[in-house]
Formats: sequence, C-alpha cells, structure tokens
Amino acid sequence: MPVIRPIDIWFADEVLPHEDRFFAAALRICGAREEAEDLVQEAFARLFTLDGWAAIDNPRAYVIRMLRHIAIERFRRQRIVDFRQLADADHLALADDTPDQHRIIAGRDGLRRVADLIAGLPERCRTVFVRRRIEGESSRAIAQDLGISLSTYEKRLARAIELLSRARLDAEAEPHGAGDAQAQRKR
Amino acid sequence: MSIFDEKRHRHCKATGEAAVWLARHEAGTIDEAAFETWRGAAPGNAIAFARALSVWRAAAPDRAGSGAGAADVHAPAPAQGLSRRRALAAFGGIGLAGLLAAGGVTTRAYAWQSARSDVGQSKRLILPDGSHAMLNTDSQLQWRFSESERSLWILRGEVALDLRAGVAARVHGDGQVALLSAGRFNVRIQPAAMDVTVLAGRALAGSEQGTPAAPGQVAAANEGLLLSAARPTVRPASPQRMAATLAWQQGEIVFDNQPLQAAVQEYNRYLTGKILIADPELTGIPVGGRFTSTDPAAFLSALDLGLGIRATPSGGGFVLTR
Repeated sequence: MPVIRPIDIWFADEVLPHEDRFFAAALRICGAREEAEDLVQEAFARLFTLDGWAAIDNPRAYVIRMLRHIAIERFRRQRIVDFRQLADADHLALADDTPDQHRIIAGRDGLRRVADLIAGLPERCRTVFVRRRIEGESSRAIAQDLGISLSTYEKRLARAIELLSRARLDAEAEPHGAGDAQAQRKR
Repeated sequence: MSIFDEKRHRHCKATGEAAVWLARHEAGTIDEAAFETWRGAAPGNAIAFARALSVWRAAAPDRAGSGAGAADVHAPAPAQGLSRRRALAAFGGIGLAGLLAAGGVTTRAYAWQSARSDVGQSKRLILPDGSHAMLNTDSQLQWRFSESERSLWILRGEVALDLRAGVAARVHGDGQVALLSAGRFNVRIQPAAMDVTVLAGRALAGSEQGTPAAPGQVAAANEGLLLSAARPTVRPASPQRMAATLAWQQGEIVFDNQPLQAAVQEYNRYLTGKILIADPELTGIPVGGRFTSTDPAAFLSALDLGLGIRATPSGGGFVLTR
C-alpha cells in the first residue's frame, strides 16, 4: 500500500477544506463544542472505512448528512434528545449542495492563510519546508547545503508540518462562531 | 469533561506523529511497514496523516499563489457577521417601522399606561424616557414615568427592558419590587416569584416601602435575582442559561437538558393549541435544543426522530404518546 493513498489525497483536497462548515453544522446539531468536534472526527473516521468514496460526487453535502446520521444514532443510544434543529439539518445539507460565493472565497482564503502560516514558522523549520515544498529541492541536497544530517533535516521538516497542521486546526476552530452565524443567517 | 481532554491529548499526539511520518516520507527514510501499523492503529491516525498531507498540498506554489488576490474580497464577510450579531444584541435590532407598528411611541406623562401581548405574540415599546421594553408572549406591562419616577408593573408574563440613565426604575411584579439601574434586564413572573436576569447594569431587591437592599441582594451583569416571599437570592447565570433566557427575543426557545414536562410547559406559553403529554413515563426524559417558539413543528418532529415520541393532533393542539 502506498504511503499516500488516493483516499488520502481525496480527503486532503475535497473534504478537509470544508472542515469549518462541518464544525458549524455539528455545532448546530449538538450545541456543545467538544461534542461537535467529536462528531466531526467520527464522520471523518467513517469516511476512511468507505470503499465507495470515489463515487461521492459532493463530499461536503455527504459529510453533513453523515453528521446528522451519527448524531441520530447517538441520541437513540443515549435516550437523550439533544438535537439542535435536527430536522433543520436536512435543509442544511440541501443548502450545501451548491457552492456559493462565500465558500469559494473562504476556500481561497484558506490557501492564503497557509501562506501566512508558513511565514510565521520558526526560521530553521521554515527554511527546510520552503526549500522542499515550494522550491522543490531534494531532501539530501537541502541537508547537505545546510550542513545538517538527514535526521536533523527530517526533524525540522516534521516540526514545520506539525506547527502548520496545528495552526490550521486552531484557525479553523476559532472563527466557528462566524461560521455558525453564517449558517443561522441562511435560515 | 475528562474524556474530551483525553481525546484532545490523543489528537495532539497524532498530529505530531503524522508530521514525523510525512517528513520521513519526504526525506525518503520512511519504514513503510511501521507506518502502516501506526496508521491502522487508530482512525484518528489516518485522519491526522491526511491533515498533515492537506497542509502540505495546500502549500504548493501554484495553489498558494492563486489565493493572494482573494484576501480583500473575503475581508467584509466577518465584519458583516459581526454587525449582524451586534444588531441582534442591541435589543432585537428593531427598525422604526417595526416600532411604530408594534406599540407606538408613548408621550403622555404621569399616568399609568399599559400594553399587553397575546399568546404567541411579542411586542416592542418605547417608554416615555426613550428606554425600550419588549413583551414576550401573553404578557402585560403598565408604567408611569415622570421627572422623579420610573415605575413599571409586570402583571403577567415576561418583559425585556433596555433602560436609559435616570432615576432607579422600580419594577413591581407578583408583590415584589426590584430596583433597576440603567442597563439591560429580563424580568419574568414565575409562579409566586419575580425572576430578574441582568445583562448589563444592576438589580437590587427593593420593598414596597423603599428600604435599601441588604448585601448579597444586588445582582450585577450575568447574574439573576430571584424575588419571592422568601429571602431574595442572587445567583450567577451561566452562558447557557443566559442564552436560554434571551432566546425568546429572537423568536426562539432553548432547552438545555430539561425534563420533557418542563420543556412542554415552556412551549405551551407560546401556543394557543397546547401540547399534552399523554404517557406519564415520558415526562422525565431530558431534552435539549433550539426551536422556533411559535411553531412546534420542528420540536415535535425532533421528538419523533430522536425518541420515537409521536405527536397526534387533537383539539387544535397535540398529544404526545410513545
């Protein structure tokens, strides 16, 4: 099995960019932040077990429907109704079938944010990241040129990736209030 | 909450490990078998790896470049969201037309004036000094204002007040008196009590004779003051509680793990056709959620969807059964 499978690329490119939408939808369904995070995480986990992922023509709408189904399963299990407008989640999914201006812009903005985040990396991490990823130099050449071992290079690159993943997670989690307000306005 | 802390910790750990695996992959030093073992060990690991990959891919020169121009276009969006939210916070964001249609501007001084709302209605008013009042469903308010007096009498129901600076407002309800400073308040008449929630300003427990409040009987912002035949009590109001208290001003109703019986009672305040629980076993089931106050359709369908509780139309209202 390759390290980077087609499903990983699909997930990275087609699913994760909508993460703030998923979180806003989950928050609308269950109300509490931790539960919403948990709901999104479970939906993601289930996506990775799907054989037919390539046939999903609208991953965003699909995940939002999943969120709703998982929430219903959980309510049934807990015998607690905590369905912030579960019925409304139908409309949420429908409304999500067409990309609107906001989401297209938000997607581009996400990329801009990555560029900002790279600029904010500690210098030694940024150097290896930019030379490898942006300038496309080979790992060995970068390590040699910087006079560091491959293992040190590897650690700096890992650190850069970790910091970026984390910063993006935080950036996505923070403006969830705005995303939620967005969803509210659509009603 | 501890399970969530544990999850967050696992999350963090997976993010770090995923970054190491991706870096090793890039450096050409990855042990693929060990990687597959790690990725298969927990669903969170596969997600974390894809997450690292998505950052990696998003940083590609062609994609990052195309995003730069969009920055300015996006800028107004959050501002819009904020102003909308601020408008909602500022006493319901009422237009002038709405005000005139709803209650009219009151100019007569020193006489008891009165306004009432029917079941399912809410009403907004401007008081003689420019303060605002909003009546929730099935409520009645009387008031008398002068240079030296601001008196309000809540005969029934629930009233939100946005008071301008001036003499302390005396709010009477259910035989109790609260003295309110300038600020924003929600006052609800409960069976045998008056419940004052403070959003901004101060609320003091008063008495008909006007004796000063004892310490511990003053509620500040995000506190509630409960006045009844017993000693007045001040309690902090959680953000959830505040949200539930204020939801009606947006035409919504919020339940936070309340027993079904209490939720139905709360809903019935807004409905001319009431909801009845036919099966006593259902009364204690905890429910939560946010719904439209005047239309129970979403609430009833959520009960059906989540708990298999059926709502049968009956005599203009609904009967709930398993």
